[in-house]
Amino acid sequence: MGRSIRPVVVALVMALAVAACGGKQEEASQAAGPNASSPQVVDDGTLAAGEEISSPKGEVVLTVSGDIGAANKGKTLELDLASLEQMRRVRLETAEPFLKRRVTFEGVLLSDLLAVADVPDTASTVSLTALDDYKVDFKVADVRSSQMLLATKADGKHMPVDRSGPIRIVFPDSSSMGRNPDLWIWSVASMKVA
Amino acid sequence: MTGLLRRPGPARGRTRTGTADPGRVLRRRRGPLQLALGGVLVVLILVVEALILQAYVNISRTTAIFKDESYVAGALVNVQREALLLNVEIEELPTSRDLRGAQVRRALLANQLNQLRGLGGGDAMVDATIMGVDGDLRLIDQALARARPAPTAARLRAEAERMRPAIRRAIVRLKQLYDAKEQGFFGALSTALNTRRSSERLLVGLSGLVLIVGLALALSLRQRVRKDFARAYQALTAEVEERKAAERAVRASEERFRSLVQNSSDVISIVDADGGVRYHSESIRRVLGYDPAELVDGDPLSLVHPDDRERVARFVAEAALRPGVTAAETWRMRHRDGTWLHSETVAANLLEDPNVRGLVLNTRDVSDRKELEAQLVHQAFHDGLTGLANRTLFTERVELALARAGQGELAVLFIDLDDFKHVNDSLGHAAGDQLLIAAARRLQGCLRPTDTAARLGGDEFAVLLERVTDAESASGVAGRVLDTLHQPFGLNGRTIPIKASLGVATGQPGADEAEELLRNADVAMYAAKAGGKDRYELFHPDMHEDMLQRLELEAELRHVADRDQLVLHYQPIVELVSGRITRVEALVRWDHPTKGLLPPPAFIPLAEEQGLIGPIGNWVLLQACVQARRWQDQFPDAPPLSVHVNLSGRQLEEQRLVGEVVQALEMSRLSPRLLTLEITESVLVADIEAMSARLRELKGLGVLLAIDDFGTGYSSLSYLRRFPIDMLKIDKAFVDGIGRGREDTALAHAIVKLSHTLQLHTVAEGIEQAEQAAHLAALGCRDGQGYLFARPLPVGAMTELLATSMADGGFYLPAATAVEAAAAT
Repeated sequence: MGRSIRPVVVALVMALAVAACGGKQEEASQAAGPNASSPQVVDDGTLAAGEEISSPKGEVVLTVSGDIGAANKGKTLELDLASLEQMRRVRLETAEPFLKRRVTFEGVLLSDLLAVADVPDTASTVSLTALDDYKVDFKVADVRSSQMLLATKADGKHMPVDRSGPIRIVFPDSSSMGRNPDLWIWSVASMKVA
Repeated sequence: MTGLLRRPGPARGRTRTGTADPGRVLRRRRGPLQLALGGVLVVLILVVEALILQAYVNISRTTAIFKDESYVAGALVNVQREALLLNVEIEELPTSRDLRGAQVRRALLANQLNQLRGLGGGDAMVDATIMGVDGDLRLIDQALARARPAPTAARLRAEAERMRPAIRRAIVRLKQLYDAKEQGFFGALSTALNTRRSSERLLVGLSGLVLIVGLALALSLRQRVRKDFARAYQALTAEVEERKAAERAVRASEERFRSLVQNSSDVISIVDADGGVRYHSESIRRVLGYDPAELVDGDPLSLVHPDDRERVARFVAEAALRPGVTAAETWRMRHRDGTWLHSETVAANLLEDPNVRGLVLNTRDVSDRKELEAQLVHQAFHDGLTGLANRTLFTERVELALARAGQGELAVLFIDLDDFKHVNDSLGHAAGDQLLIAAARRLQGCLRPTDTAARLGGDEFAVLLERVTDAESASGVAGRVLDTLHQPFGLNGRTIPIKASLGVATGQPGADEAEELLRNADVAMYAAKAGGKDRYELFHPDMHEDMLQRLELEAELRHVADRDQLVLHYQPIVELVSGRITRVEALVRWDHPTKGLLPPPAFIPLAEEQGLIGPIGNWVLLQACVQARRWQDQFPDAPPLSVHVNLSGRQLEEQRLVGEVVQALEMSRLSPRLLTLEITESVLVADIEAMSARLRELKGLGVLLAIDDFGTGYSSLSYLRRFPIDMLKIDKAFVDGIGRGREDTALAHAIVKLSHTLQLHTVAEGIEQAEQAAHLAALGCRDGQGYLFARPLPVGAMTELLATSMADGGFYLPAATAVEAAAAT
């Protein structure tokens, strides 16, 4: 009898184990992968905080306004791709939620951009508006902690408007904000600090 | 659970036998029975386990489907929005000239399409729509590329015209896909909830079953209760663990669901059966500007537009009665800032769901879509330039008015601006557009609010008058329209009156067809044009016949110059005192194959209107010069005759006229001073600057200029000094009055005196009686023309008259004696 009940118990335990593992695997795939990468500096750049930012020569891709110390046109700061890429450039491999694959982005940490634009510590919000008028607000604290990137390149190439360009916000795998696809604003055109 | 109980099989049969007296059975056949029991248990547990797993997989799968569907639905809303905005960009392209803006908008649309491809790709309907829209976008790209090198207003207008059908097609494709997918989205929502509910019940049931089986096992093994109980307990603990795991899974799925709801751009609200709000999702802050907490427990109708409240209350009540998901309903809601927005709501009845016990309302802001829809509808039925109704809407209104029986008659006015093409050509399209806008505004000013004004295209307008008592009152409106249009209109520093030809047709509701009524008004309008423009005509059935004849004549007129159907007649102009023929006026006739000889009024206005006057005028000019030269060669002893040729206003507008005159003179070898060009007064008033320049050019050739029908046109005489005129031809109306009364004679006297003062040569037209000739001669009028001397004669007869009157180095008419006789008395 002892011999006969044993397989039953073994089967029960195994079955439970399978069910439990299934649940765990599911959760694992929802959460950040264990080897999610973080932004890597590619080039320290020539444009750092506190330096004069010259007027853009190319097409303006981002207009920064509001509570900023640095400006090159009236009270606003206009930036073309070239000036953005003069700043400290970072590379980030992350899961793109719309394409549903891993993409290597290159660009500027939004927190670096805030520093270059000389945003004071008192500022609390950064509002980004896209070419199609889509709008997302970030807290300045979140911008600093999430390591969100203002990407200028995807897989080594500049992005045209019909590929969500010319600039877009992307998040590292580790960022909890990045799990909300609504925050991945693409075709960013202007930024207002308040 | 029910499925499991219904499962038949020998194994279960034996279990039941075992539970009847398990102890005895166990004792008696311990080995085989235990083996069998163990087998049954393993099978049962495996089945239960499989069902639990299946329930769990169901929950995750439906949640995933729901999530995918909601993203596709979101992407579809976005892609529709971009398409509608691109449509607006294209519509405005001719005025905004913002090619770059259109390109950016088009790229944004392409990006949204890419997103949609990524989210919904593989779905045949989505793929087909994307392929279709890609095709439409290629057409738009081509049009944009064509416009880029030279983005002039005309070019942009033409390309926008080509882009319009493509973008409209794309919008329709996307709307159709959205409508189809929207059902899929809400279908997925209710499937997800239903699956979750049944899976939960299944889990509870299964755990109960496992408990029963465990107990049965414990009973059947009572002899070894302690040992077996420990095992049963172990099994139970495991089962409880398993249940907890399943519950955790359900909770995880619930959390995912809630996060989805919170991140959704739609407002999700839960309302109790009695109408109280229990929950609003976070998104209400963005959509309506309120904090979710401040609205909970409030009246959900307080935010609804008062006019819509009754409907909304009914919608909620009906949703509460029936299970399932309702159709979408739209109403207006107030934003915290006081503005109204259009919302679209779907209700899911989850009153029976123990987790919800309420109605789940899914509300979305569709203001943009509503506005753009309204805009598209407006564009479809209105003229973009003037904002008046277009032909489609107008025809519909006329049909509607005709269908409305017993409302009195109705009238349709067709209005065509006279010489609008001239404005467009000389002042440019922008000025033409301004004129059309002004005309439209004035037109509307003449009408009652119940009447409809429309622009049918080009310079054609139409008006529908409802409930007119009779044709007279329609004429009253027609006259008023003409008067209002007449008010001078300032354009590019010039003041020009707007003139129009107007046709009126009346109809009886219930008796007439819209199409016929419109055609009648059109025919009447053409009759007004043919009758000399700047006037209105009431439709009369005879007009159809006239119109047909006119069209026939028009077709024939096209070839009149090449078919040798034109002939010139000549009427002598005589020196009143001597009776000597010094000049002849060339008068054109159309030798029509069936109608015989037609005088100029029968076909010249038509030729002018159809732009056929050029070839006819040139033919007349050349023939007249050639004939004058021939007479000069035939009668070398007499002083050469001058020939008079009539020029129409349209000819004078043509730049090439001067070249044609030069050519006619060269080809005929006629001396320029023997050619007199006759123009009417009205021509001079049209465009003084341009006309003055043209006349000076002609004058420079050495030809003479005469004013024809003097005294009948405009009373202002100032132009007599502004233009290089040599001669006045006094209209027959003044000549007729001579000798009839003192005043009429005085008028003729005044005109002759005036021309003396201005040192102009005078010719009196239409002299029929010798007394008139004598009187005019006495007044100092130099030449005369009329039946008294000769009617217009064919070339042969004219040559004969010249030959017979040839005497003393000149052509002396016998009638001259009569003049002298009258002068003598």
